[in-house]
Amino acid sequence: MIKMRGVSKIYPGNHIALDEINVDIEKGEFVFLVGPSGTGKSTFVKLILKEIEPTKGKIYVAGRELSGLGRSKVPYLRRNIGCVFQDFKLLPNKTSFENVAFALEVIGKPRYIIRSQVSEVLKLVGLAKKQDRYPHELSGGEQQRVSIARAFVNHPPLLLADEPTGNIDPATSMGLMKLFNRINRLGTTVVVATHDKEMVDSMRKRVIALETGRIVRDQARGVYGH
Amino acid sequence: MINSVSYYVKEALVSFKRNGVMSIAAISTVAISLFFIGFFVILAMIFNTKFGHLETEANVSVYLKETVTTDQTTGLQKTILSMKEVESAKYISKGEALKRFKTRMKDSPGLLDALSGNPLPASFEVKFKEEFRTPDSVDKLRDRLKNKEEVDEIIGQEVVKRLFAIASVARWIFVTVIGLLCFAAITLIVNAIRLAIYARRKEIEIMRLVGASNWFIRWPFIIEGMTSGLIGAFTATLLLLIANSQLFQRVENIVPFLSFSVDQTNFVYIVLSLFIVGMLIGAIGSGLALRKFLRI
Repeated sequence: MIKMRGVSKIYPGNHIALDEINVDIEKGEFVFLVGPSGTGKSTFVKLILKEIEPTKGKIYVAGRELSGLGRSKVPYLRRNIGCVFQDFKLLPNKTSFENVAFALEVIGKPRYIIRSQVSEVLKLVGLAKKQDRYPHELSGGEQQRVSIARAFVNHPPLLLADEPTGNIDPATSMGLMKLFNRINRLGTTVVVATHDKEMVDSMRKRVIALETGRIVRDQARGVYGH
Repeated sequence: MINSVSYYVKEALVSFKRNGVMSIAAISTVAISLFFIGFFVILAMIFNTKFGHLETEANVSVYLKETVTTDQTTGLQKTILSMKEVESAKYISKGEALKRFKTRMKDSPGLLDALSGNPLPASFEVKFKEEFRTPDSVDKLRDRLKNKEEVDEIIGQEVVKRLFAIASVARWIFVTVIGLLCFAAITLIVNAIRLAIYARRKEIEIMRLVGASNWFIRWPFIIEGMTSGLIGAFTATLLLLIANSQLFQRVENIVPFLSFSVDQTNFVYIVLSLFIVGMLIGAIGSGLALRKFLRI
């Protein structure tokens, strides 16, 4: 699903975020990308989304080489990647239902498909009853569930989460992890970048540990370490 | 597809309302620029219909005194024709001059009634050979005829020349002013769109994340810019209609022999071009704003 070969990213000011990364993530895997803040986890996620370009190396997502992908094709790449962030990125003036529906509206899905798909995914994340609430009427965990619903509503083959539990208390975080796990079992490849030690340790999934831009450990059924 | 179009238009209108002041500033500037363009084009049209023919018609007229005799006239014609620069020298009798004047002024019959007798002088219409159509030739002709007492006045092309010189200066000033106004209009539209993009930055971020196509994100802003341009053009048209009825036609009533108006067809063409220019200004403005503030 994701393949990186010799990927480096150097930001202006000679700040090295990623250094010669080689990695393979297979279809259907559940992977934690761990490491302290500022070790290149977000850079990793942004590279896959082609929000930024690598300074060196090649990145393949679902068999396609990203540097050869024109600007106008990037949106179609992103339709295959669901995205979840620490700050949820919900629109405050839209209800849960509308926030999720928005993701389908802007890619031109017909209305009847939107209605059934949104209801279904809200049921999956456990928010069917709160579909008419606005984000400020929901708890942090519930807001993150809305954002996961939005990321998954289109059933993308790949789901990326960048510090999804950063703003959420530990008990709620575990619920979110179970949700990611359920999504993973539906066939979607899940990559979660996090520095939430407890969560990683309790899940026993593949762990890729980054430190100062390098992969220092890649372990199946691993723990956070150190 | 229909869904998308109505979405674009709806979004454009919402954003329009949200940035009221900026949009109004942009529209006003477009309106003023387009009004000036229209106004000057109308002036230029009037100018061309009034004076344009002077360039191609008789190069020089030699007006004769009232007292001139037929012999003198024939002699004068020979003198003129003997110059190597001259191609022809056509005699225009007093009667012929009056007839021409009447045809030219047929739109203002009142003026003709005021004429008693025939005040117009006889003249020679001197046409120079192609290669000699210069002020020099006029000077030579003037030299040759300066001792002839039957000649009253020589009106040469320098009058026309001066007129066209003034016109070309006016044209440069006009082009500069219009250029600056268009620049201001585009800048204001860029600003209005920038604000619109800023107001929707969160939505745009999410749209990009979930894979909305670039054009889907761009259209509402382009429509907003072009709408500003079109409303500006519409306003300019209203202003021009007012100017036409209040100014040009009033001038025409005061000075009847200067027909100071543009015919309907030309007016329609002008208005159409204003709408096209307005739309272009809007499109260029939003295009620049998108390039600068929406990196997709």
